[in-house]
Amino acid sequence: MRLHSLKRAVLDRVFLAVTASATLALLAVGAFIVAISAVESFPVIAALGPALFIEPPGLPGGEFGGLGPVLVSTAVIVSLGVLVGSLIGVPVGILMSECRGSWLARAADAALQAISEIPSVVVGLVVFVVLVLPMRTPSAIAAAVSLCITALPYIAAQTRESLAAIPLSYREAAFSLGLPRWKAVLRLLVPMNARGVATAVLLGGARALGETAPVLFTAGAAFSAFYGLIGPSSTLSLLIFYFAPSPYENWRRLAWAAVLLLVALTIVLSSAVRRLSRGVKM
Amino acid sequence: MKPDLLRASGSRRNALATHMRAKPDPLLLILAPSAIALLAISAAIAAVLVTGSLDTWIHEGPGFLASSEWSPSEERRGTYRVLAPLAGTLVVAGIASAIAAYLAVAVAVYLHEYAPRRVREVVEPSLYSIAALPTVVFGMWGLSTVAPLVRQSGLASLCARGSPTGQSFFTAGLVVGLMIAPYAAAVVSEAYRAVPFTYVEALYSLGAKGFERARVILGMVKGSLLAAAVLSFGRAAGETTVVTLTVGNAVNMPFCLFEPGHTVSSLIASQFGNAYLYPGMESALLAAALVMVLVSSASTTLGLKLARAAIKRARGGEA
Amino acid sequence: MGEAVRVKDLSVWYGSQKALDNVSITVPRGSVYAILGPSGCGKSTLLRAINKLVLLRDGVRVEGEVRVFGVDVYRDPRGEEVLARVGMVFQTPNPFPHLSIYDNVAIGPRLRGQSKGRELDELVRWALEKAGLWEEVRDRLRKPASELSGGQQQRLCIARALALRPGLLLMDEPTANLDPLNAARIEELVKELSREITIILVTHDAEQAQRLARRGALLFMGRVVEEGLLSGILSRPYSKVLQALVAKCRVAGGDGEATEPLLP
Repeated sequence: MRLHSLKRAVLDRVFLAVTASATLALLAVGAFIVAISAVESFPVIAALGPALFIEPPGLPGGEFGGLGPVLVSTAVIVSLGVLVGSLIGVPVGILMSECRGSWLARAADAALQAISEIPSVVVGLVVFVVLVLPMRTPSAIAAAVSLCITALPYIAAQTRESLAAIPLSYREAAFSLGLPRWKAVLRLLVPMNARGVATAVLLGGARALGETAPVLFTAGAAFSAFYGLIGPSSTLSLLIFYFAPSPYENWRRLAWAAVLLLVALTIVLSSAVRRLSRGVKM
Repeated sequence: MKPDLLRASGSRRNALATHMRAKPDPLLLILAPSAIALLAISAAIAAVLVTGSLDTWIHEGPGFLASSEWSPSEERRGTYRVLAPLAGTLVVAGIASAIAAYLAVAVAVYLHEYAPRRVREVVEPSLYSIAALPTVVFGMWGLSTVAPLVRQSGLASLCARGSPTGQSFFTAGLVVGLMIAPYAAAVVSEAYRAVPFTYVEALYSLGAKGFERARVILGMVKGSLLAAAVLSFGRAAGETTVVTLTVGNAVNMPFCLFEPGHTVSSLIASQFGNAYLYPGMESALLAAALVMVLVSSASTTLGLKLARAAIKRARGGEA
Repeated sequence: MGEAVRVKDLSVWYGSQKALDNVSITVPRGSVYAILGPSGCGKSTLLRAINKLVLLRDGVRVEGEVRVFGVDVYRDPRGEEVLARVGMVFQTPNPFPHLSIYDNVAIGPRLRGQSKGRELDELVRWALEKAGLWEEVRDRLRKPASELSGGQQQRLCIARALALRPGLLLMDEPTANLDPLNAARIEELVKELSREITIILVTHDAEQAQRLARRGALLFMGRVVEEGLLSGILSRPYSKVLQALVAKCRVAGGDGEATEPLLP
């Protein structure tokens, strides 16, 4: 019996060690990515300073150059995609929360589920066939449409969740004012939940910013300038995807700088989402 | 004035009554256009995948999935069959979900049974942040750090055509597994948390130690372990960016894990941009995409169902 | 020493909120001891302070001394050994739903590696007999515990605790979620068990306390208001006692130390 309790104590320590090191390993991966992107991109940042945000990438094997045009295209594509995604996603979220029983809400729910389960590269394929082939060129518009479709399920689901989280007493107050239901929902409940909608839009933005696969065939790979909405274009994550395997050191370092920037943006956005969505409970 | 007011409130009551009778709701009408746009998008995706791949199903039939001959041609219709990348998808997703599920259980047990509260409060949000990192970031890390480590490890020499760069089925599975582990951990953790506190107290009152409590509680939520594995599989099966950067991109059956290969998604990512140059290739890639969608959606749907059932069961405390 | 548990100057905080304030009680061996009081008065906290389960709550702080069979469980290294012989039964029946009836009873001894094979079978049977469940489950020991009714599940939990061969059994309102018939069975069981085991029973039901226990303590807002023979504590009707307490607390301005609801 002594032996048994010793065995248990040892096993307990072993489990502690194993599970703690697994947790530590995951955290280490995250920390390592942040650290290595800072180290690898340091020469770029040191050489360029703020010009990193203005200049175009250098020639292969030449100077570093910056991320200027890519940042412009990314901003245009992501905000356009999220704007359209919100115009569709927010009302769909409201519909799914407030007209729960209707067939339209159920159909929308199923469609949303299906879209969220489709690997994002397939969204890119479809937009390629529908938009890029007829337009004969990849474009910022096509990329924005792809990102809109990938962000849509997140925006709609978050909107629905935040509306569902409004306490019953507030809901009753809104409906007790004698307004028709559509007015009570759109003029009282939704504004009451402005934070929830903002969270949904931010969440969609975070997803759109990080996605690479949907823009692979739709954005093009125009890193050195912004050619307008219907011209070939690019995004930050696409630049990483193209420059990461390249044999040119200047491009690889630029890709690391892009990684650093993307990581920083994602952490800011996702913690904003978390902070905002905590408030939704009221 | 007065009768008017009365009538107004009367008609309001009528409005409520008609709503009760479920006549067309103005709210529904206002929101309908967005919903219809959404339905149109999903219909368009389905239509493109099905009509675009029709040509391949007619030409290749079931052989499309049963052999791995991939010979593009610019002059005439080439032969495009995807057994190798499809097997690659299953193998990479299998490795990834095994790694993710193992780590998920370990992390959940550590956080709930061993970690002091203050550690938990730091670790949990950090894991959320890692889960939110863009996939291409993991891709770059896998390419620059993990692949060289795999190369230096000499594991490639175990295979006949071992990868000279370190990019292989194994590398892709490993990186994807590490990437989705925080997500899988959240699935297990949520179920763990759903177990009513009284069971935890009962275990303490019986003198159970950390690993013994974990064994009993994981037994109560074993559905969620399966859910984490299946959901990870679904995610990994559709993952493109990381895999394309780390799998090595060669049409190759995954008989040996340290050889370079393709998954369906990496095949699409690396070939689709030029597919219009080769008659038949675009259709073949759309057909492959359709197969991947089915594999990935089926496992995601199943996984979500399992996860919900596990949480419900844990909450109710019923078997 | 004649006492099973001696609690001295015990205070428990949850964060900044004081749940127990300078509580002292003495539980003699071989009897049923009742802890009475309205909900939120700290009964459960006191019970969980005895077997240290209270430490599972977030941000908890414990001051004072708890001696179980003479051993200071918070400071003495022998505390763990002593607590291994303390069983607990909870308000809601909580057998592990995925384990069989047999495994639920056997879990304690198995964890301790105390008995195996035949010996374990005997122990399980003994515990189930003691809990008055053996006849009902003898041919379905391998069935999951979740198939049992609520009352049976609670008796299974008692058997699970008895399999530890405890010297002390802590019961936290064990009949609160049962129908009167099953509650009566559990009460019978408590009476029988108390011949061999010391039992501390938390309840908000004064009649139940009087039926089962001779001694006890009345808790109100985290303090022991009275301790001793129940006949003395309950010389007036319980509802009157509580009314007087609530009234007194209002006069004192509620002095804000316990913010839990006061109403019984």
